[in-house]
Amino acid sequence: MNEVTRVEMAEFKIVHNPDTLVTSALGSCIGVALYDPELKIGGLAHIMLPDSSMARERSNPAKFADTAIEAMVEGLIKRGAECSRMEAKLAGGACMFSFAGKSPLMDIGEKNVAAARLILRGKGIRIVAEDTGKNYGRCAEFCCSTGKLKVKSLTRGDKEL
Amino acid sequence: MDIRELSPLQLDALKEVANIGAGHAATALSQLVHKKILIRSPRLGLLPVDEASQMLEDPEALVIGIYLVVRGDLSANVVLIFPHDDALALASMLLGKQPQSHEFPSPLDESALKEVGSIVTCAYLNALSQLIHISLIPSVPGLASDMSGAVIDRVLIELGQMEDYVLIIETELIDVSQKVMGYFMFLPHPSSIETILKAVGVAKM
Repeated sequence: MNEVTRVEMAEFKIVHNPDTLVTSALGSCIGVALYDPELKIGGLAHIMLPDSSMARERSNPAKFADTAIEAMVEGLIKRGAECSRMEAKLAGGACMFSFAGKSPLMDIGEKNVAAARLILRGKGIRIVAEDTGKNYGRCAEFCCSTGKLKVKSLTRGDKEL
Repeated sequence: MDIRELSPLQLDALKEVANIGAGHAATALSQLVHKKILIRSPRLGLLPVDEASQMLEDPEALVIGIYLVVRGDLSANVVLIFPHDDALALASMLLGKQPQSHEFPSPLDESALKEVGSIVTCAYLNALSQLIHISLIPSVPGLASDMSGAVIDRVLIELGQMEDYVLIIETELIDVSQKVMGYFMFLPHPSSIETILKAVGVAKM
């Protein structure tokens, strides 16, 4: 039975073939999908912020790129996956509003993307595809039988990574 | 201050302040569109940042969001959310043209809608300023036309960098037939909630 599991904001989930993970409405947030093609297991995280070290409250690791990816990788390894086989796909990290006067906060989406790339590289995980940045929201559907990440948007059509 | 510890009296006070602000905002919008606009009693959401988008009915609905940052004696974020078609109708009305059904707002539509956001927000903030004698300065408005969840997450992230909980004060703008025209959301920073409570005399927990 192919089950569809929802991943809410600041959450990550891990499932096996043939299940599917979906997350909706990624704006500045970033979706990180990890897949071990040999075991056909995968995880999807809906991450809000790049770095946990800046926050006062760190009770939820899935909120931050550093701690969310760490926890998701650990979860996958526990189920037998290996970093060397893992493939990463990224979606989201848009800059939703453009202002005349830019504040340093404006590029939070960009920071999320940069943080995710850096952390994955540090773990030796390859990023095989991404649909990030620009100024529109995305929904992501991650199929653990194929490892395909379907990225949908309301304004720019759909893509398959 | 920990906003999770706000008392019922304090929450009521915040609601009342929001009600007065939203009343002025609705009047400003009425004058713009020459139509009677009413408000529903504000809804207060005190939620973990990562659950706050659940205030939205449908996070994948196509909306137009206008976002302003408030500085001065308070730090807050303001977001106006209009269903996409209603926003385009609103823009057409202001620009004196026939409403068109096209997928994206034109640059002129966007500009008109940002102006609406500015005027309505200023009316809300002015009412607050006069009520509690503080000075508030809104930023220029930003606009996004996209799914509502993606529009709001940018705003929540800004608050979520420091805090785990966020207070959303939401007022529905409705017309005489009770149809929702849009949502006005006021998201004060926790330190500013204290400022408001002090000004209305209910700062003590």
